[in-house]
This record gives sequence, C-alpha cells and structure tokens, in this order.
Amino acid sequence: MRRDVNRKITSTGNLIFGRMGWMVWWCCLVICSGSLPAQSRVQQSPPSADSLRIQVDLNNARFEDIARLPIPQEMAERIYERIDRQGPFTSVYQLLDISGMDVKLFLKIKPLVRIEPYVPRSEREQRIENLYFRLERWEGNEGTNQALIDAWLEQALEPVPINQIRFDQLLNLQGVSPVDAAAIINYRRQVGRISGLRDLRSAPYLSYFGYRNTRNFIRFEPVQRAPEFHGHLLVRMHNTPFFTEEEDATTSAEAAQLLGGQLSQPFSLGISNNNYPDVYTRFMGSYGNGIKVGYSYWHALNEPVLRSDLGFARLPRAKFYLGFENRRLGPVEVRKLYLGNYALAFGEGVVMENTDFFIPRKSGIGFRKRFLGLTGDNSRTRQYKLTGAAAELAFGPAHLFLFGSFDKRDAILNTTPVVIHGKTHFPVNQLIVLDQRFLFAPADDFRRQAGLPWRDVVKELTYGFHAAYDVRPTSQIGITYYESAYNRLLRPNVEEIVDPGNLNQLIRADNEVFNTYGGPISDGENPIWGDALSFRRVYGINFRTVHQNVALQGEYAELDKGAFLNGNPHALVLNAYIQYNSFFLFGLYRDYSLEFDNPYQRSFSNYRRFKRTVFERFFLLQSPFYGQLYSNNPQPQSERGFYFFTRYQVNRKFVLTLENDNWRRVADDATQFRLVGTLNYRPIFPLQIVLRQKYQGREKENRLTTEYFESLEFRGTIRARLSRFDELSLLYMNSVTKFRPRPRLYYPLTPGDSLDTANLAGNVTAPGEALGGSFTHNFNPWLKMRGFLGFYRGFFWNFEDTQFAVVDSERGALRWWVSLYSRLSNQVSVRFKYTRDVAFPINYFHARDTNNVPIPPHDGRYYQARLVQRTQDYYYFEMNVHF
Amino acid sequence: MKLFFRACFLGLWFATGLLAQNFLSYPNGEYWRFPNARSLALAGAGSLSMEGVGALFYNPAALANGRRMLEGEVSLLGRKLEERRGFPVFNRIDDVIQNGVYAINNNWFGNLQGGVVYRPRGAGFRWLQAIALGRFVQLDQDYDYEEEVRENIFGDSLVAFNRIVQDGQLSRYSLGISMALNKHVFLGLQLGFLSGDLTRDSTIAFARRSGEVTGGREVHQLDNTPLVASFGVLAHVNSRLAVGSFFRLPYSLRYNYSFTPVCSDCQATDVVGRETLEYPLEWTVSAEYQARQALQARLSVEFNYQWWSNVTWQRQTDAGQFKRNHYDDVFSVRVGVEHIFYNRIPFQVGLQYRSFFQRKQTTRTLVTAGTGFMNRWWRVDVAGGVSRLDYRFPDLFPDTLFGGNRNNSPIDTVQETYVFGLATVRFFIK
Repeated sequence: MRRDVNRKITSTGNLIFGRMGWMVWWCCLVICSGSLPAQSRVQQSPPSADSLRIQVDLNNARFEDIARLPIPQEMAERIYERIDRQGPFTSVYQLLDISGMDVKLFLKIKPLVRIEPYVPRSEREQRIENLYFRLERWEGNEGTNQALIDAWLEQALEPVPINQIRFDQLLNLQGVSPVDAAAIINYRRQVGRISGLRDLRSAPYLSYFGYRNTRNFIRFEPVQRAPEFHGHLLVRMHNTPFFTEEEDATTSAEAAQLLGGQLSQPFSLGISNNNYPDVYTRFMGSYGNGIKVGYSYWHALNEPVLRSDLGFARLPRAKFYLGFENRRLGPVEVRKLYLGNYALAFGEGVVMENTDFFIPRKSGIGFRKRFLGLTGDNSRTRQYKLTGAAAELAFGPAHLFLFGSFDKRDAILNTTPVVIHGKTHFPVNQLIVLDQRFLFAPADDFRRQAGLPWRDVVKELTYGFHAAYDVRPTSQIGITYYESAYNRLLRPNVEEIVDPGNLNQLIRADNEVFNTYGGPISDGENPIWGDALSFRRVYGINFRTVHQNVALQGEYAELDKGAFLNGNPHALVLNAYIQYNSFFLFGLYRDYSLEFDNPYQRSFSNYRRFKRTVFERFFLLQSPFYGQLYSNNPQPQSERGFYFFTRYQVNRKFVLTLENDNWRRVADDATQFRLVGTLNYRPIFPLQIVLRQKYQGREKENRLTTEYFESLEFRGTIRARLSRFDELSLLYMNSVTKFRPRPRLYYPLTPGDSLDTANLAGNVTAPGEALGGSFTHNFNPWLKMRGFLGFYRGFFWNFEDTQFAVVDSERGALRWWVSLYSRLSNQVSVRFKYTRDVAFPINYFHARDTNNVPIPPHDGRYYQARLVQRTQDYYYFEMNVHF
Repeated sequence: MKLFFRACFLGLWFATGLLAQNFLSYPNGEYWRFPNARSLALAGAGSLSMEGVGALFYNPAALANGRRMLEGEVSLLGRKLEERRGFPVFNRIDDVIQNGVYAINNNWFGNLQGGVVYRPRGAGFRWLQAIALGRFVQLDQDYDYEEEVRENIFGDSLVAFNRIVQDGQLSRYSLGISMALNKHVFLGLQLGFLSGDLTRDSTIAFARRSGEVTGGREVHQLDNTPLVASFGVLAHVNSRLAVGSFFRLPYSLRYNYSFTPVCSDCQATDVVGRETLEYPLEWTVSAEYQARQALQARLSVEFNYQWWSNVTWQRQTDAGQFKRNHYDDVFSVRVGVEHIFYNRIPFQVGLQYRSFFQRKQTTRTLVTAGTGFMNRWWRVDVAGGVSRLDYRFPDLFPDTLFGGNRNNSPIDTVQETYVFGLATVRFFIK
C-alpha cells in the first residue's frame, strides 16, 4: 500500500528524495488515527505494567523476540537490520520508514512494541558517549605535554574516586589550578567525605572553572566491579611539515645535490631521499588501576625507517613501557613502578623534565601545564627519552622518586680527535634534537667521509632521585638530583660547527654557545659504568604551598662545577598565583645563568636556548641542518625577568586577559618585552567577539643595531554559534614587524659583488595580513565537518582543526582546508583532512645554481624559469579506538 | 660529417629516450585505476561491500552482494595530470632557492567502462550467486608533455619546442562468477583478457632551423592476448564485520616494438624489435566494519601487496637489448569511510597510501571523496580524488641535445598533481 502511494506521488512530481512521501504518510497517519476505532486510541494512554511486560522493547530485543511478533519473517529481519545498521528507533513511527511496512501492519504491531532508549553495554561506553566531544579534541592533540593528554584520556574514562584522589593527581587534571586542587583536598579533610557534585561545588576557594573541569575526571563512589582491561589506540598519518623545516630537509637544493641524480639506486650515505609521511601510532592500556602498558612508534616526515636489531628480526624502533601502580610493600606505598620508557617532571622543570619539545612560557598553569611526577612515556620524544626503570614510593607524608636510564643520544661530534687511553676519540660537541634522524648530517661531506655520524653516537647513563615531604597535604618541599654519564668527552667548540669562513660573523649572543657545558671540568669516571668518560650533575630544591586562594611555588637548581652554593651556574624560578571566581593573577620571576646548561631543563622561557646565536643562522654552519641546534632545542634560553598573566571576567559579557613579560637575555644583555591583551565580548550567548593585540620588541631603544626588533599583531575573531553546535567564524589578522636588515636578506644588485657592499640603510618592515572564515557543521553526533578558507600574506599562524599551522608567504597565498570527523561507533572514530595552500606567483628571479652562484650566460643555452610558484597539498588521517 | 652528426644526435636521443619517460607511468601505465565512482570515493577500499560489476576488478566474490537479478553499470572516468618541471632558482624576494618552473602540462584524459551482472534465481543455481561481464581500463598510458627551450639571455628567445605524446590504453574484458560456499562465505573467480596498443611520439621542433623537427615515433603493438585472472573470498563474520581476500595472478605483455625516426633530411633507419613487460602477483586482504548508527557508517581497511621484485622489463631491438629487473615490491593501504544519509545519499571519503615499484622510497597518497543518490531502480555516484607528488628526475630532453651543458642542475624537480573524477550510473533492470 505504501509503495502504491509513493508511486502516485512520484508520478505527480511531488516526491523529492522521498521526504515528501514520508510527510504525506505522516499526514495520512494522523488522519487515519483520528478515524481509528476507540481501541486504537486507548493505546495512546500510558501503558499499564502488564502491557509493558508483554510489549517488545524493540531497541533492546533479540531477533527471536521480534520474529515472534505477528509480522512476516522478512519484515522481522528488516526491523532487526534497521536497528542493527542505523541504530535504535527514537519513535515507533519510524517503523513506517521500513520498506514493506504498511499502515495496516504498523497498527497491528504498534500495541505490541515499545521504544526504550538503547541500553549501553558498560559504564565506560556511557562515559565515552557523554564525553565524546572532549575525547575528539584530546585524541588529535598532544597538548603542551603529551603525558597530560594520555592521563586525561585515561582518567576521563576511568575516573578516580574523589575521596581517594591525591593532591598531585589533581594538579595534573585539565584546567585545575593549584588553588583548586588544594581547595578540594582541604574541603575533603574538613568534611571527611565529598558526597556529590553539589557537595564538591561548595568547597571554599574552588573556582567554577576548576569545578567544571574536575568533575570530568572524578567519581564519588569507589569502583565496585572487577578489574577490566581498557585502552586507547591512535594511528595518525600526515605530510604536513611544521614551519617547513622538514620540507627543507628533503626538497632543498642541498639534498638534490647530494642525491647526485641516482634516483633508482639506494642511497647509502645515511640520507634516504624518500617522501614517507609522518606516522605516529600510540597504544596505551590499563588493567584496573594497577597495571599499565604502552607502546608508541613515530616516524618523522621524510625520515628513513629506523629499526632495532633483535638478532632474529629487525623491527621498527618503538617505545614501550610496563607500569605497576598503587601497590604496597609492607609499610611502603609503591605508587608507581615503570619499566621501559618513562617520563619525569618535577617542580618547575628546572632540574628534570624529559621532553624533546620546547613550549614557550611554560608556566605550569592553564594551557601550559606540565605533567608532574612519573608516567609511562608514549610521546614522540626520542632524544631525551628515559629508558630503564623508575619508581615512586611513599611513606606517610614523605615520598621518593628513584630513576635510572641507559640510552643513546644524537650529537654532533668534533672532527678533531683526541687520544685517550691510547685510543683515538672524537668528543661530543653538542647534543642535538633531530627532526629527521639521518645517519649523517646532510651536506657535511667531511664528517660523512670521516665516518662521524650524528645518530646514536653517545651513550648516556642517567640516574637520580626526587625526594619530597608534605609539610601539609597541600604544601611540599623537595630536592631533586640527577647525574648523567657519557661514554664520550664533552668538548663544545663552535669552530667545529660553523663554516670556517663565517667565524668572523659571531656576535655577542653567541656567548650562550661559548658557555655550553663541557671541557675538562666535565671529565670523570663513573663507579658503576666503566666506559664513562664525562659526566653532568644537576641538583635543586623546590617547594609548593597553597594557602586559601594563594599558591606559591619555586625551584632553585645548580649545575655542579665544584662550587656548591658558591658560584655554580644556577637557575631560579619563583611564581605566585592568586585566584578568585572571576579573576586570577599569575606572576613569575626567572633567573638563569648563562652556564646553566642542563639538557633536561624545560622551565619558563620565551625562547629556546641559542636564540639569535650563530646556530639560528643556519646558513653560516658547516651544514644547514646544524640549525636544528637552535630550531629543535628544548632547553630555555638564559634570561632574567618578570612575567605576569591575568584574567578578569568583568561580567557575563566581557572577559579581559593580559600577559606582560619583560626580560633581559643574559648572553647579550638585550632587553625584550611582550605584551598581549585579549578582549572577549559576548553580547549574546551565541555570538562571541575576540580582539587580541600583541606588542613585542627587543632593544627598542637601540634602533640602529641589528638587535632591534618590534612587532605588532592584531587578531579579531567573530564566532557565531549556530544550532546543534554548528559554528561560523571570521578571522582578520594584521601585523607589522620592523627590524634592521641583515646582509643575507639583500644580495647586492650586481651578482658576484661582495656582500659587504650591501645597502643596510634604514629599517625593514615586514607586513602581514590575513582574512578568512571557518565553519563547523555537525550532521549529527556521529559526523562533523569543518573547513576554512582564507587569504594571508606574510607570517600567519592558525589553529586548523587539530593541527597548529605556521606559514609564511611574502607574496600572499590562498589557503583552505576541510576536515571530516566521523565517529563510526562508540569506540571507533576517524578523521580526514585535506589542506591546500596556493601561493601567488611572481615572475622576477635570477637564475642561480644550487650553491647560490649565478649561472653564467656562457655559450650554453639553458631552460629558463618563467615563474616561481609554490603549491602545497597536505593530508591528515587519524583513527582512534577506545575499548 | 653532417650524416655523422645526425646519427650521433639520434643515437643520443634514442639512448636518453629510454630515460626520457614519465617516471611514474611509462611503460607500465598509470596504476591508479578504479572500476566505479564509489570505489574511487573510498580510495580503492570498500571492495567487500561493492555491489556492482566493479567487483570484477577487485574481489569477484563481492558480486554476491547485490540483490537485483539483472543490473548494469556505466562509468565515465576523467584523469587530469598537472605536471610541472623546473630547476632551482634563487628567489630574491623570499631569499630562498625555489623551483623555477619551465614546463607546465595540464591535461585531461577520459575513458568509459562498465558491465552487467546477472544473478540467477533458480533452484538449481543455489550455489551460483552471480555472473558478471565487464570492461575496464587496465593500463592507462595517455600522456601529453610540452616544453619550451629558451635562451638564457635577455629576450628569452625560443630555441626549441619539445613534445611527448603517448596515446593508448589496454582494456580488460572480464567475465566472473561468485559462488556461495555456505550462508556466510562466498568465493569469486574472474578471468579477463587485455586488448589495445600504444604509440609514443617524441619530437623536438627547433625554432631557428626553419622549423626543423627531429624525434621519433615508438609503436607498441600487442603481440599476445594477456590473460588476467583473479579469485577472492568474502566472509561475513557477523552482521557488523566482513573480511575477505583476493589474488590477482601475474601476467605478461608482449609487444612488437618499432621506433621510426622523424627528422628533416634524416637518413637513419627504423629500429624494430620486441618488448616484454611482466606484471606481478597481487594480494589484498580486506576488512569492513559496519557501525550501528543513524548514518550507517562503514569503515573499510585494505592492505595490498604486489611482488614487483619478481618481474622484468626487456626490449630487444636492432639497436641493442635493454633490460630492467630491479623493481621494488609495492604495498598499499586503503582506508575508506562511507555514510548514508536518509537511506539514499551516500557520502564517502578515503585515503590510499602506497609505495612505488620504480623506487620504494617514493610513495604516494591519494585523498578522495564522493557522493551520489540511490533510488529503487538506479543509482548515481560521483567521486573525485587528488594526489600530489614531488620528486627529482633527469631532464626528459637533456640539455646536451641543444648544445648546452647545464651541469649545475642535471635533474629536474618534478611536481605532479593527479586529479581523478568518476561518474557512475548503475541501473537495475530486474
């Protein structure tokens, strides 16, 4: 019957995609129901308990239950298949959408069935359902500290009972400040037990923001069920270079030159000229709250595949860990014991925090948190990964971390050997974090021919401890100590890295390079490792205390050079945080010695170590790839200064934030400042206007030196929230950067003339501008599409779905991307993204060879380039499985 | 002397011509081929849930998926290759060395393919699920390349105009069946043969020699009837999960080869011979997960492996014998997701990552999307895909041919962007 009606409507041309047909059916149904006998209308009244008992709960029924209904077998199969494929019914009238279901049949079975919500299988699945939008953000994001994301993912799905949670665990939660954490702990001590959300909300000094975030990670009743095995798997693949560094490595002229045109032959020089994508796979699993396992594999863009030789097989080099938590050993609480790769961070990150990634202004609060304590390491950290064993023990208010690691490090070796113990020895010049771990540094023919690789060339034994005592539950003092021993001497020497012809271009900022730790003072043996030739020892003290709504924290450390508290290089971080419901203020002071060269230091700083040194000017080095000494350096630069950050919610419509940092770089005494203000205006809830202005500079008073730099940047965003969490936003950015020109930017007009004659008069202004719009559309909770279209010129950064993009185009470029996030099921989700960046072409160029020497117009005839144009196509794929 | 010069010139041209081939597609043909739009939209994944005649191209066991007794399918395939070649030049504005582009080729190539499927419903054919007959593009070798050679002096006067035109494709005519081993497991067999020829014209038109043209025409005439056989299995583990696998057996192409020089006042003679190209064994494993949600999401993951290291290419002519047997094995991973809106509008995205048989360090990624509309008696699908590849390769026309000696940059930077478009109409006859 239904089929006949549909045919009729189609013939009249009124049926579009079948929707009209359904509407007509709906109308028919309403009309029919009005003319139905009284028996049918009786069914509209609430069903009795008896009728509920005999009704089939369709969404949760087995096929056999549906097959018992008075319908043909084929219809039962279709109903079951409909639920199986498309999910549960939300209305009994959706039965009419099934092919072959006519009104007569529908009215026959309607009294016999009922629609109940589909019952999820487990509490975990329910939590995934409730938190899927948060999981989506975390899954594709590594945040400022990868361990934090792992912890949030795990704890959001396996919440910790709030009446058992510790202060240090609360500190690691998203959006929870030290004051919030202390408020919860103190309130629990005061009332004995927190019974629910309303109870939690009434904790004194707990901010609304802290409360909102805490509740995602906690439960109020202890876990009653037996331990289960749960986990998360992430597979990610993309070809997006960050800041084009990776792209340069394989598409640069140097790589082409090295390739020598032998495309079909394996390249045996340690450089595999490939275009393999960036692949990151991460798995973490837990059995109850006592056993953790993890595995991760990362292959960087265009990098050769690195393998570990196990004797019987050569497997891709990966990281793994096995962890045990919450155990007891007599009176001693074994909070954590990790074998394999693990991550550590203590205090303010002055002594020990072993990530490869530098985060500017890592204050430890808000979006710039660090994971404190010990955890398994699933991150992309490769250079400073710790491999061995680590434990966290507690005895009452005292707790102790012990750790030991033995692993290889990448380093640039000196080409000048020394003789030690009768053997020729090539000392370490600098440890280096590599984007792509080639065996040899590309373009450094000398080291390649001398057999001096930079990958895995020095072994490092690191061990130490962190002992802390809780003076009060929310106040702690601690000391940290570690010592690293190396099987090579440490002999930093800038002349072994800079091209000899460019040594005259060293400047005052290079003091930081000259003060790299090493030399005879680092020579020494190790009592437990006979191969050790040198060592490094760092120790420090840290504290944290919270009183009501004020938190004070600090850490002081020294690099041992034999003058304890009397001239050793030192580093100091002190900070204070005060919080009210609608206002907070954070202040920080840091003071780092130039000589404090601790490869595990990740404390607060605006810039990486070696900023503005010769290592940043990669074109002066023996290989441009040695520029990674700066560009990948995770250590902070030596600086002294004050930093303030505040947020004030004036009312529901206005929120102001202000960031101010004034510091002095130690190496060259250059003064610098950074001021950022943001106004968030929300006239009505769905509309948000964000205005952000940045003003930054260096040596503003010395405009005639190349130290001078000044930058202004404005960003305005209008974000309109539409229905169903859809969003439309517009972005405008305008910036201007003024600086003194450098010879390298301005080649003389006549090719071949000396660079010394370059015109350096006046300052340079580099403008930037961007205009774009983005949208987010949720088809339903299972499928989301996002996109962006914009134009930019100059330097431009933007958050693009889960990626952070930094691009630069002097001539301007059109950029767009589109992403699709599909939750296939409660457990499985995938994300596809495609980005295209089209730079506008220019026609002006001067043909030069790969050594930047003009190609002489001698008798030969050459292909002539007609335009220079850059087009980039990037893809991104990600798959997540929660179980 | 003039004759000697001509002979040397042609010899040099011919020898370098062996290198002067599109790195990716010649002589083996473009390897990204899709039987229909849905397959392209899923980047080659989704073979287990393929319902039409396209199953012949991948896993013939999937012919059992359809419910209609008789159906037909026609696909219009468009392929665009945008190829840019250049060498490093110094960009004064950005202060970097970039790729100056000296040749841009932007061409579309089109094809038709399709077939019919018959599913018998008789009691005597319970084991036989479907019979299908189809025509597909097995090897696509269309290629069109143009470049200019200019003086490196003010005015950029034209020296020569170079061109390579390849025309031809091999079509596969396939017959396949699908059989039910039991209620959940299906077996499929496919047998096809190839047909077609290939011509390749390479010419240099010199501007300053009164339009003098030199170059040659290569003709590859198929000398055998290559048989392409494949078989596969499909198993429904449960209502959500299906797994399957299929093999395509190796086959060989034998060409009668000829090279005819084209030049003014040319006295060189034709070069004739034989050419043999082998194509390897191919194995694919597939898994497909059907989710339970309103948009009927389906995730398909496939892994494909091809044993290219076992095959050789050789050409035996009057001018000598050329052989290559150092190809690399190829693997590819295909992932596709399909949603269906309102039970009628499919929407698919896919991604395929694969290595390359000429050099395993070179890999390509294809990003695809597609949609369509399903009705009771017909279905339309449209899909598009894009893939970009940068690599370096020797000049297709070496500079020495023009009297130059550009030894500063002996290789080109090549940027290829492939765009695929496919529209498929499927109609159910009964």
